[in-house]
Amino acid sequence: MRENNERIGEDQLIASLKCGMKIDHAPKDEHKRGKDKMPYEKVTRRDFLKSAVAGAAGLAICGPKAIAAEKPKAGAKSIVAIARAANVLDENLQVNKQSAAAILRQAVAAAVETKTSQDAWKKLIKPTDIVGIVTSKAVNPTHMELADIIKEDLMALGVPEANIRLPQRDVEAVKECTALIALPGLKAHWLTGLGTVLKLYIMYSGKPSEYHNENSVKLGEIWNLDFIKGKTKMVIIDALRPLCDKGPQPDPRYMWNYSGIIASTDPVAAEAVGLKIIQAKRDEIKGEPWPLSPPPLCVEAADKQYGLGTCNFDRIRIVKSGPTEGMLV
Amino acid sequence: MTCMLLGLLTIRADAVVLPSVVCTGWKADRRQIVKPTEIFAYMNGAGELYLAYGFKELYVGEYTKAGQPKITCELYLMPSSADAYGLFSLDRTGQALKIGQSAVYDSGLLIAWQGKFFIRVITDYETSEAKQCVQELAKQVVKLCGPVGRPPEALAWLPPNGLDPESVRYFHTHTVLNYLYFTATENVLDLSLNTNAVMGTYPSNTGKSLVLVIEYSSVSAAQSAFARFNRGYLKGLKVEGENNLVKLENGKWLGGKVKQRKILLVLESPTRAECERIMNALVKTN
Repeated sequence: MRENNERIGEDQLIASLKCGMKIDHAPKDEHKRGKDKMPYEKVTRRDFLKSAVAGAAGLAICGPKAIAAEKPKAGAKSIVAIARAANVLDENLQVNKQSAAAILRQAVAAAVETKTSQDAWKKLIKPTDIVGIVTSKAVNPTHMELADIIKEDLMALGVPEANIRLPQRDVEAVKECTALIALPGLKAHWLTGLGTVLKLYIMYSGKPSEYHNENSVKLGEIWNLDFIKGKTKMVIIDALRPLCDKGPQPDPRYMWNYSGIIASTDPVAAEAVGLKIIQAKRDEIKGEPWPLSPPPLCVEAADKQYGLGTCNFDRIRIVKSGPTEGMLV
Repeated sequence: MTCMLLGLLTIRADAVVLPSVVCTGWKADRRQIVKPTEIFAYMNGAGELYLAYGFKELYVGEYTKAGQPKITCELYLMPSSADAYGLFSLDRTGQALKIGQSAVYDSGLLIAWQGKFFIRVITDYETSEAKQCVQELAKQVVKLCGPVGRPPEALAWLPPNGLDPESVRYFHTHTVLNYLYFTATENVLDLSLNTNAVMGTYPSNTGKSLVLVIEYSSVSAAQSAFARFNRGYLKGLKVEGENNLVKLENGKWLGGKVKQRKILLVLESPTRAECERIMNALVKTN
C-alpha cells in the first residue's frame, strides 16, 4: 500500500515538473530585494512536491502572443504535428532526404491545417520576406538536410535564394530577417532541463551566459526582443535523433532514433510536446520516473510570464502520423 | 614561454600533444587546445559543466578514416585528480573497462579518468572498427596523462554501510547539484568552487535515501549556509530532534546538521527511522 502511494506521489511530481506547477509567490519583503526577481527564479523542489500533493495543473495565461501568424482564435487549441518515418535515418545515422522531406512537409501542413505544405508556407511566408532558418549549431546540431528541404520549399514559393538566410548566432543577420523559422534539435540540457525551442535564440540576447542556471527561466524574454518578436512563423523541431540526458553534448547512451519532425506555430506548445517525448524516453530508459533535472521552468515561464504560447495540454491538439510504436506521446 | 609548432597550431611545450595517427589508418584532421575562456565557442552552454569543476585546458583531436565515422577525443586537464574523478562520477553507465583509473564504454562513447585528466572519446556512430579504435585511442591517451591520482577525500565522508558505490558523485557547485538533484533555483546551500560535495544513495527495503555532505572553507561558512538552507528550503516545516528531521510534502524525510566545516544532509529517506539511522551514521563518520 505504501509503495503504491509513493508511486502515485512520484507520478504526480513528474506531472508537475513538466508543466503546471503551482508557484508559491515569495513574501512581499522578498520581492523588495530585487524588482527583477520573478517567482520562477525562486522555485524549490518543495514547490513541486506541494503542487503534486495539491494536484495543481492550471495555467493562468494561455495562448500565443508573440507568434505573428496563425494565432489560435479564442478557445482554439494550438496544433502540434508529429510526423515520423522509420527509414528517415540509415544504419550510419545518415539522413534519407526523401523520407525527411516527406515527414517535414506532412508536419508543416498538419500544423497549419492545410492540404499541402506549400499551402501552409503560403499562409505563413510572403515571397518578399527575408527568411531566417535558425538551426541549433555547435554540439549536437540540427540535421542540416532539414534546412535544405525548407529552403527548397521556400524557393518554390518564390522566395529568392538570396533572401533565405541561416542567421544562427548573428544578431545583425537576424535583424534583417522579416520572418524566422525555428529549426532546433530536440535535446535535454543539463543547465536548463531542455535545450530545444526556447533556448534556440539565446545567442541573439548578446549575453548568453546571463540565461544559464536559474536565469534560464527568462529565456522567453529573448523571443520578445523587438527584433525577434512576431517574426517566428513556424517552429520545426528536428526529432530525428533526440538526446534525453546530458545535453547539449552528444551522449549516445541517451540518444535514440525517434525519426520524427514536430511542427507548430506555437513555440511553447511545440516545446511542451518535445518535453513530453524526452520525459517519456527517460522513464522508459530507467524503468521508473526519471524527471528532468533541473526542471525546465522556462517552458511554463514562456507561457505564463512571456505569453509566447501554451504548455497546457488541455489547449494543445497533437496530430500524429507515421509509426505509432515509440511515439511516446 | 617556449613554443613549438604543430601543424597550424602553436602550443606550449608542456601541453599535451594528442597523437596524429591512431589505430590503423585513422588520422588527426584537427587538433585544438581550448582554454576556459574559449569553452563556450567550442561547446556552447555544455562548457558550464567543465567550468563547474574548474577545468584548466581541453585538448581535442578529431580522427577520420575513409568509410568510418569520425572519432573525437577530448582530454580535460582538471585542477586536481579529485575533479577528474568528479566529472567521471557523474554517470558511470556502460561497460566497465580497464583503461586509466576507471573507464566505461557504451554505444560509441568512452569516458575515463587518469590523474588530473578526464577523458571523453566518442564516435559519430558505432561500427565495430570505430568501437575498437575508441578504446585503443583511450588507452593511448591515458599514457599522456601521467601517474595515477588520488580520488577525492570526500568519498570517506559517506558511511560505507549500505552505500551504493555506483551512486557516488563528487562536485562543487549549485549547478551540478541541480543537475543531479534539483533543490532550488537559488543557491540555498552556498555552493561554489570553494566547496566540496559528495552525494550517494542508500537503498533499503523501504526505498532509497539520498545523502549529501558538503565541506565549506570555515565553520562559520557552514553554519551560514545551513541557516540559509533552513530559511530557503525548509520554511514552514516542523523540525524534530537533534538531527533536525523534517517530513516533506511527499511523505519522505529530510535530516541535516552542521558538524564543524561540513553540512550533513539526508535529502530524502523513505521513513523517519531510516533517516535518523543514516544521520547518526553520518555524524559518526564525519
